[in-house]
Amino acid sequence: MKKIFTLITALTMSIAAFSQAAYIQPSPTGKNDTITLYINVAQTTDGVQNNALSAMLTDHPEDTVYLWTWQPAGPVVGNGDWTNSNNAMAMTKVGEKLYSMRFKPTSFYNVDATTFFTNGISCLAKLKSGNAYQGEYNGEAKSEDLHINIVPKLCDELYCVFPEIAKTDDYVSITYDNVQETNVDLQNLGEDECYLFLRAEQSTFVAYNYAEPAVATTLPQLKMKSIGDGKFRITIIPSDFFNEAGVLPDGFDMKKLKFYVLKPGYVYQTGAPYQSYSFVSCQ
Amino acid sequence: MKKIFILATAIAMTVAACKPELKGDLGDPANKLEGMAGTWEITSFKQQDPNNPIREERDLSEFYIIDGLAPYRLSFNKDSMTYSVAAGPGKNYFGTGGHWAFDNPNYPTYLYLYTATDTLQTLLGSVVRPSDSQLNIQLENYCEGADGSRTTTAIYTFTFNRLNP
Repeated sequence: MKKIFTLITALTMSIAAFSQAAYIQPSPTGKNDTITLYINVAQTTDGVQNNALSAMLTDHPEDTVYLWTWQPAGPVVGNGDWTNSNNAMAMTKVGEKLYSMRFKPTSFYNVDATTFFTNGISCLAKLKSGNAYQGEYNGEAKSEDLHINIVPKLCDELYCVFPEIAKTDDYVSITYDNVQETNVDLQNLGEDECYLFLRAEQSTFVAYNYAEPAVATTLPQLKMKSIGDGKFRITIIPSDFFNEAGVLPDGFDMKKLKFYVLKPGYVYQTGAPYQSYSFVSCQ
Repeated sequence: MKKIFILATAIAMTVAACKPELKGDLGDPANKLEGMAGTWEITSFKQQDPNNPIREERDLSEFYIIDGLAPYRLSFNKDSMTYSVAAGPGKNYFGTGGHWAFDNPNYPTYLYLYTATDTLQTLLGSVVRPSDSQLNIQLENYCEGADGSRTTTAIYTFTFNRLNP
């Protein structure tokens, strides 16, 4: 049994090594990031799938290399034909046998972020014609199949709201990263200095503050909890939170939550930096 | 690469073949009802974001477990098929009590809680036997759009410990 596990471990490491032939930057990857996909043909292995691209590029280093991809979906522009790749899929040579292409995955593949993160990218590199140099090499003008697992980046913005989509009766957490604060008057907040201004909005003209800013910094329920690394968080159920305060009239339909950070004694000189979170629209 | 995967598959099948055969059955259906019977006290509460690419989950137990306050307790009666709620801190998703049922008494997947005004469908984390001391249930919060589409906004997982083993 020990030998079996040793063999499985060795196989896993081999697969991991293969995967280094293709990678993306940045990684971890944000859902709205534009990425650069790299294929290092020098890291591919000729012969494992009737492929011989590395040998061909050794002899013909100036040949253009094309991306051929099918997962998370086929590219919107199309791969082209196997013997005539789409020019739009030509990769940029950035080093010896190293090629790249820059794109925004959700647009490039026309998939949502969840599909992209779940399925990753499957692709290979090839010459314009996959049948190029036929008979001259032991395989086709392509690399073996390559797969890239995507490491998602969690929200790392000044304000992050969890979950991404919520009803007003869900628990909603607002996290504020004081380390990213550009307002010098709000930088380096102490553990007891971070409060949140909250406003429930039905429309631009029908909206109610939980409390006026000067009052908000005196209310313990609006104090954000320090969670370390300069971050502060508050978790509320918006509908309950506002209803318990008695600030909303009967029939009010909360569509958005507006908010920004407050520091006791500090007044924004040039308009408050309102953030906005929209609730999902239910029947 | 293909050969590697064939070899790995063969190894996996060999390892799987070494597993002992499952013996016995899932037990008398009545045992599943008996398993639920009794009083359960909440010990943790988590929220998962089903719309997050990695389905991020956060522990919000602090809203339900507060020093000095009795936490939520659910009591299930297998004879009358009723349940009652002793409310504690945190949002009350369970009402004040009512009737309960499984979707399938023999192979339960869902636990239904029928209150006077609502029906809660909760996903059982696992079948609870009389000898089990923990109960996990999941509750989805969702909304239906004008076109009939359903959007799940959050999945809440409640963990309870049995109080009367």
